[in-house]
Amino acid sequence: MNRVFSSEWLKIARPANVLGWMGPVVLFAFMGTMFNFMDAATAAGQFRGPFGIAPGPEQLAAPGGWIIGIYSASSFIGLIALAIFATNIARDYEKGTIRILLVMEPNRFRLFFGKLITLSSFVVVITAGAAVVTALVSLALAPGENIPVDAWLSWLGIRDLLIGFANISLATIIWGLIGGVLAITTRSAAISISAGVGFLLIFELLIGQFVESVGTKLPATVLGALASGGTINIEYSTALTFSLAYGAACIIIATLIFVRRDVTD
Amino acid sequence: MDKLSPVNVGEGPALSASGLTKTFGKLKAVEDLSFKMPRGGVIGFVGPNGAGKSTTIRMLLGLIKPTGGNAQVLGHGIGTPSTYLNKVGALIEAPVFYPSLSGSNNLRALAKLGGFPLEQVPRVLETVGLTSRAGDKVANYSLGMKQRLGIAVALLPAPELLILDEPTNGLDPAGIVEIRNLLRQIGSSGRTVFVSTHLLSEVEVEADRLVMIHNGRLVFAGELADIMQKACESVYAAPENTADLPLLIGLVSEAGHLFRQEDDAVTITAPKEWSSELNRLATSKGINLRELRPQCESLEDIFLSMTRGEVAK
Repeated sequence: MNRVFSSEWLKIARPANVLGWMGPVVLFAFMGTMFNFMDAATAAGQFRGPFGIAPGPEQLAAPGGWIIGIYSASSFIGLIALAIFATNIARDYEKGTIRILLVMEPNRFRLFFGKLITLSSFVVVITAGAAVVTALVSLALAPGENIPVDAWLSWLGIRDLLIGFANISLATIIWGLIGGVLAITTRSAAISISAGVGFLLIFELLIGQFVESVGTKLPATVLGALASGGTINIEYSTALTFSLAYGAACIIIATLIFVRRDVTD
Repeated sequence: MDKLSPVNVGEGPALSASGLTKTFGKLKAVEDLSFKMPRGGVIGFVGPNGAGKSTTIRMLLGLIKPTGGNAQVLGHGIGTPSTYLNKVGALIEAPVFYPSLSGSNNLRALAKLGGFPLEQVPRVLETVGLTSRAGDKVANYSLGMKQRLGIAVALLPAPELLILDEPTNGLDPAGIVEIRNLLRQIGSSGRTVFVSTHLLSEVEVEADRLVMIHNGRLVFAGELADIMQKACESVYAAPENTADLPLLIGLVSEAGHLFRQEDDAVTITAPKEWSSELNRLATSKGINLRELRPQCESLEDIFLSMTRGEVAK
């Protein structure tokens, strides 16, 4: 597995690639944080902006308040993770590099899991970048909005920051796994990204509107709840359970297809 | 380890197939293919485009599963490719790489993946003549350079067996000769080179043995010399003085060979070794020969005559 990781990391961790993917993630985290602080002052937590319902000043002043900005951008960051997984996996089929990879590492389980671990590590790295930006922007904006930061810089604040980072990282990885299974199935980066975005942002919203009972169990909704550490409608434990189930299903389906299918491309 | 240093070849054939079959829906890409090729030397795997060469190679490399039959690579069944692929170098169809990485980094990534020493990277780059461009992005490589890089990848494992699919595609004539010489060199070091091509003239000059397929079926498997022996079964002789032609034909006739008279020469049905005998006979009768040479069919001619029935279909 180490061999696969070091090989894949060499390909994916090029500075241009890291910056290219991290740029939009950091931008979304920055914008989410900005809107949160602006909305907190103007609408006292009741305003629904482009990044969802904004937290009130009390929520922002709580120990975990300095990481809340990234929660608001979690769906956007998740979609980028979906695109990262889909692009990297599907391109090996599109370009034909999968052939030489399988000759160099014929153990398909090892190759596939090595790829998943590398891609997961990569999205955690860029999510960490977004978390750092969120925390720094929060610290910079808080005095202007009269939000006290004492609780953030306490041990409790640091703990909540780490828990928040762990939750959003896990949610982001599962978004990526959805991209991975779509890429393995379609063998096309464009189709898998379109299908993923189309389902998760549009179709899922429609299903949720028409069939309320399943609306809180669909992937984008539970992953959003997981990233935020639970919501009013979905408890954290429920979000975690459903998210892990979706992640496991993606891994099983993708692995079965990857291991069994002939490489004719 | 130097990839061209001699190796002790193991026991048994390098490659063998028994009833190997692959179908895609209704299409039989490879049908009942059976052959056995010993280790060492260059094996040409020939057939026209669409004959089933790439499908066979993919089965040998574990990329696709056969529908029927079986095959062995270096003594291991193709159902367990991880048991032999660390001793096999491969170039499959057009070589493809990560365009935003340099040639050197593409090789480093693949060496890491295969668990091969990174010291191999500069060595194989030098072998294929890419050292000076190793740091350039592959996106800026020409087709010929990509082909060389593909061969470099195949050499990374210091392989006992090289399986190359159309390795000279895109190369200029000098590059073709260079790669041909490299393959001969590797083949003579005890390693086995299994090289597929649709250019029969190419294997005619580089292979020791042949596996010939057409429409997914085996046409011939064996020594190139055997098939070429059959190809050289006529001798062309032309006397310096055209007036000596009847006398020359008389000698041929007395020796019991069939012949066909042409304007100022004669073509005799006889093995090429008989040329020296004819030369002696002619000299003893005072006939000077302007031209005396065995006439051989090309491998292409032989292939076409062997597959004529199917081609006609």
